[in-house]
Amino acid sequence: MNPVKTSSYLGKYREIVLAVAFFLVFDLAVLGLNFYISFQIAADAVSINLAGRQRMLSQRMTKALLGLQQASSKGLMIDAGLKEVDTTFGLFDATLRSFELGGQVTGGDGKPVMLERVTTTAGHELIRQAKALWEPFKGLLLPLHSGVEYTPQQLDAAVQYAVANNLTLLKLMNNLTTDLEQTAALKADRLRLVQTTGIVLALLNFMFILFKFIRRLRATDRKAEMAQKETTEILDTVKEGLFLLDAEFRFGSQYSASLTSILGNPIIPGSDFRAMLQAMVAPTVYTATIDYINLLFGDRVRENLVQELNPLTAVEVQVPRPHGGVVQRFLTLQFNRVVIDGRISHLLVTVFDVTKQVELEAALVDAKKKVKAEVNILLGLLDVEPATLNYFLNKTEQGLLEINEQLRSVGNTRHDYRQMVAAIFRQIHALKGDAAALGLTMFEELAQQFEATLAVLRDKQELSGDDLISLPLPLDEFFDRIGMVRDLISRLASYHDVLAPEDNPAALSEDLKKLALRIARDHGKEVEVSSNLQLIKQLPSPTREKLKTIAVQLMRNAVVHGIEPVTERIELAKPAAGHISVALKSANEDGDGYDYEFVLRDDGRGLIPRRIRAALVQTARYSQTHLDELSDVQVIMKIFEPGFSTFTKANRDAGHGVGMDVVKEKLQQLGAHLQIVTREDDYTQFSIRFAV
Amino acid sequence: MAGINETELKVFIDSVTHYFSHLTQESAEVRSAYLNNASIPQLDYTGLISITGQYRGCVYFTTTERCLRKLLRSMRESDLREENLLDAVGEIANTIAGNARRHFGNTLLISVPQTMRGAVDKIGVVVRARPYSIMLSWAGHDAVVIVDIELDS
Repeated sequence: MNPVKTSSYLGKYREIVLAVAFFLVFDLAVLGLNFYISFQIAADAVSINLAGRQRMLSQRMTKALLGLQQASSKGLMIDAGLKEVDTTFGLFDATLRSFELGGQVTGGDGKPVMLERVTTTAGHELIRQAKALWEPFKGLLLPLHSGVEYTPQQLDAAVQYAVANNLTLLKLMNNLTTDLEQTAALKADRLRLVQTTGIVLALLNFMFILFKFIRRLRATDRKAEMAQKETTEILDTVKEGLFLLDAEFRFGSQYSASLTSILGNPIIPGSDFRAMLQAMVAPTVYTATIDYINLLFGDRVRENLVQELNPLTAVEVQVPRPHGGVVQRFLTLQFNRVVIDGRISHLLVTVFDVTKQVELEAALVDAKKKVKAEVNILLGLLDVEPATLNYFLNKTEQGLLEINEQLRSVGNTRHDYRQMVAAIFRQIHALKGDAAALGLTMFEELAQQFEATLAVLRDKQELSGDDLISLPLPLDEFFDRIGMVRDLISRLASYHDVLAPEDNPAALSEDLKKLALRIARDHGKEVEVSSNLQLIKQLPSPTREKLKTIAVQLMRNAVVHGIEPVTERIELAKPAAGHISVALKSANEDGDGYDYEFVLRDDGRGLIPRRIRAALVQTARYSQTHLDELSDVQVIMKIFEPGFSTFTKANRDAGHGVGMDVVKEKLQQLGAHLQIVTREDDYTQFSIRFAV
Repeated sequence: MAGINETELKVFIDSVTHYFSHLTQESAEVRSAYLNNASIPQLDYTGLISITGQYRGCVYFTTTERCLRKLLRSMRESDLREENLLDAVGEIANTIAGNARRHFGNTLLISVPQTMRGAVDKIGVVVRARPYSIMLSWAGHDAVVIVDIELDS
């Protein structure tokens, strides 16, 4: 990561770095030139001084010669004059030579200085001319220079030469001085130009740097401002709560606006997250969370591998409400490491309010459970014999309509309300009993709920019309369920019509046998069934269906009421298993107009008028006197009346007084003739003759 | 099954009983509640609101002309012409709507009240097989609130 960063870092500032480098190069170059030219100027100053001195020396020399000549003619001391000639001669000659060739000469202060040779063409020419004058002069001066012996003629010759040429020599030295001055001035000009140019370039460079830097700074500021604005917008808009958490569990300074409302607490940057967490979750969750956060701040584990350990996943929390109290929420806090320069600097915490999601999931689970339960309940309905179920539905619906009518027409007094609630309670309780007996759990539970609502009203001290508002709701639910069951039955019936195989006698025989065995098992009895129903395939479909219903009801009746329990049969010296035979025979030969005869016979206890009478008395529909007036046959025929049962307790196969009335109805539809032959403790035979 | 609960049912009823209690000296009382499985009760004047949104269907208040006349008189209103009676029944429907808005918030869209006189064909069982009928009694007069709404699937 680092090399990439460095490269981008250089790339970002490359222009500025180059500009600064240029600036330094310019400055150094100007500085170098400054040094060089200032040395040159110093050297030029020496040359100018010395050239000036040559002018002065030419005149001093002439003056010394003239003085010497005068002193000699007057016989005065000549030593000082000779010394002056000697000094000026030596200095002039050495300096002129150095101007030509370069070299060391004695400076104005008597110290040696380096004199550079004259380089200009004009200078060369002046030196050449000066030498042309100096060399003969020098020859004339040499005897004087030796200072010991010279003739007055030699002195006169030198004086004459000096007088004749000193002005020319002065002029030449003067010109040389001027030439050197001009050269120096030229160099100074060049230096100024170079300095100015250098400084201008350096300034331009500086301006460039400044411009670039400011522009980059502004761009960076703009970007930072934009980034800050975007960050603020994100934090203000994002639905999730976002904040940074440091290793000391302190809140960062930036956090999303929604965080406060999700957590229900004001966030103070730098405050301790643990204090808030502790107030929100259970102690075990709190401890586990602290351990988890510490684990994330350590670098021994991979973040994605420990995510499953996060204890704050859909965790139930108590969140303070703005106006007091707490509200229950489900939150998920997701922790992600923030790594800077290879170090975990913070954890980015994302807070999701998953309350709705959790509630939906719970609702979904409930709904699934409910649907499953309902499917099971509906499948359970199939265990109930259709006619019995239909009877139950009709009876229940009738009962509910009666209850609704009571609600509609109830009087307007507390007494009326109380009486009505008690009456409805009794009806629903009876309904619950019926549903339980038939194994209709769905209706049993509905009745149970209805009872609970009624119980609340029953136990109230004061009952008003307001209290009754709750009653239509369970009532409606009941009606809905009845409708649903009816709908289901009707759908199943349509499937049956389409998918049912062609009736075949074997299948019907098998069905009847299964039914008999199942009922026998439920009632602790044993039974064998023999059948001969081959002719049933000759019957038209409607007749077949009616006959099947009759067969089912008679078979049920035979097992439940006819066949005795095993112990009873043994006591009667009968085989342990009861026997039921069922057959469909042709009846054409009898000549009574009926085509077929259906016979169902059991070897059970027989239809006993005595017991039927007793059961009829129990129903309270008939008085003993009235029953006494009836013949045994008439009494036996009462078994076909709706609501009659010798069973005092209802179950799914008997006791509802429904079944034999269905047989009666089907017999009427078939226009059939029924004959019952029976003997106590021996048998009962139903013979049904019908035409097609 | 996709019905409403008792609390929600009471939202509609309470608005009517409060209306009578606040504007007249006599309070309206719930007499009973039942399911309409056959004919819908329609008295002389009816105020109806239609509901869509979380629930759909309609809620209406129906009462007798005598009841409305007495109501107007108890509010010191001397103009007892039909328009005023319709306005009165509309005002009650409006009260139901306002209370429902407060309770259900934005989840319900409620129409402006419609008012009608006599047996109006427009009112039939719209949604429920058996709408809830809550019978009210005010100053010896009958009124019925019919709640025929169910959760919109």
